[in-house]
Amino acid sequence: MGKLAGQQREQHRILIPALIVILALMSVASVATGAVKIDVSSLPGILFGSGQASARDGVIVWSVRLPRTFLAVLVGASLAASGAVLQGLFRNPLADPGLVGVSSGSVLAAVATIVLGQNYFGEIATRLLPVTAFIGGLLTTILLYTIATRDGRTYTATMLLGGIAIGAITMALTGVLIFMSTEQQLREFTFWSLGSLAGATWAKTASVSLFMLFALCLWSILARGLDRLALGEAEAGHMGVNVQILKRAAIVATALLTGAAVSVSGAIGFIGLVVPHLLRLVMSPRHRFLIPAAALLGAILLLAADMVARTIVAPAELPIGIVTACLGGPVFLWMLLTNVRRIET
Amino acid sequence: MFHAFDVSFARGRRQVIAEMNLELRTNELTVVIGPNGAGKSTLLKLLTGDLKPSSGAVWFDGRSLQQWNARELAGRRAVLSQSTSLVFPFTVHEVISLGLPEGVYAQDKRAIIQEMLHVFDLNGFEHRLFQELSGGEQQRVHLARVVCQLKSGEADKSKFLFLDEPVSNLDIKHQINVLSAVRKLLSPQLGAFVILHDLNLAAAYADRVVIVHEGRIVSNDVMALALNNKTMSAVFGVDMHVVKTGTGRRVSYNAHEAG
Repeated sequence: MGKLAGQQREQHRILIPALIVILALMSVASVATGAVKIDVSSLPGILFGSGQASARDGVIVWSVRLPRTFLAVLVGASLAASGAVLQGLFRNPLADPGLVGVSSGSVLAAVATIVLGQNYFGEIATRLLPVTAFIGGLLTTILLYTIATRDGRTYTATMLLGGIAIGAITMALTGVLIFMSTEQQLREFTFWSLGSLAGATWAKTASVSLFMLFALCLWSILARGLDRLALGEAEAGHMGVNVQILKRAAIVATALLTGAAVSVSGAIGFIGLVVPHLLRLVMSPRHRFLIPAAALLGAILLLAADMVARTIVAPAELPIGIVTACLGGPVFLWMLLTNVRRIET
Repeated sequence: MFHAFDVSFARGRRQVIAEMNLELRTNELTVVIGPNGAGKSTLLKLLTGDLKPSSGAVWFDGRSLQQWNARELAGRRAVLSQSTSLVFPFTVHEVISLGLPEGVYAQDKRAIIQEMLHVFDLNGFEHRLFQELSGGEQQRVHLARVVCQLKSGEADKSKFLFLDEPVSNLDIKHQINVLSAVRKLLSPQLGAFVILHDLNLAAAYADRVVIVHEGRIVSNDVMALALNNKTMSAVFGVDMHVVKTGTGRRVSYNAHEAG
């Protein structure tokens, strides 16, 4: 490891541009892949309006594939970035918005908005979905942080178990709401609990990107503070970090990103856990580079997972959460096993 | 200048610190000694603002500590805690540079870090992973981080270094190395407040010795006067003999309890 660490410091200079290139290629592949195959060579024609692409292909690309690809990129980036921030906040590589119940808090708020909100407020409720999902995520993050942190120390076991408890409670409440709901809403339960990018629209894409922009404003405030927080709250304070403000900003950023992602795609697990962890194996853990790199890799992985989800059982579609769980579950186990000693203390 | 005025601190019903008065001066190495549980670390935490006094107040440079914001204070005083954990695989270079304030030019930054690596005998360690170092090496990295925190910023303002047992994990060579380095940092703008367990190191490096016993300051004097047989034996509960040597004082004791 010693030698590897030596070169580690500058690797973001290669890694981040490389991730950008891979993301561009993956996006093209994502637009071309699906039930109807679209030749990559005809894409420029469709996108820039020249050439003689068929009208059918044009419709598929513009109103199905492109929004879906953009949504996958934004959701993947949001989930991975919120995972990186959450791990920095909890000072713990096992924190993940899905695992610790933040996503399920957003899901509960979203389902409540649909089931209850539509009864009382009609269609307008649906438009508020990202906002309520954000509030749900915010409340669960604050709750979990309060439960898991004492005297400036976060206890891994308490965090994971507290997350399971919060997840169980919110899922039960979600279940009750679904039970009260109409059949159409009932069918959406799979969407919320396992996640899906089907039904992507430009409107959804726009709303997620708005939330991401807000979170982006917090990134530069967070980056240096989270690095210092890695030494502990007291030390961060000694080095001039206003720890209270930092923690609040981190909680808001996490909830913004998770809430935005959940409101358009349900609860997609493991991206936030796996991506920052994999990156720390090959690059510096400094958040200034880690967070953008995580956003890029998260986008790439979610694009890949989505391509698998919509092709493997075509013309049907697998909930994307199943694909990410197949990837993330084993990685999570591996992380647990390699961190056993730390977790038990 | 740091001032503690009638500072008391209670944890639950237990009075940990009782009505302490203390003044820290620049250009002076103040060493705090005392038995386990005497209140040394609590005193340090009260002076750095980690703990709020139950009564009394701590002032720095004419202002109560509460009136300073974290960032402003970080440029004027640095703290090494007794134990510091680090999550995530940072390199030595990265850990040290966490101590530097924002807005330091890259060139100055490089020079300061190189100097710190040299001072704390860490040459060649900069790209090693912090988590893979030994306890003593990690302690030196933290020292480097803490010291470089005061290396930039306003040169004409008074600054203080607070070190809680900075040599507890170090071998003899590095104990000497670190304390000599701290002495060299002293200037009309910089003072240091250091908790030590080794009485001979205290005798060798202190300008002033503060002896803490059962939450009270029992002695606060220049080194030559503070270290005397009677006080030392009473505080530590062991027969102590302070011997004058050519350059200073040595403390010796017999390996049995005082009668």
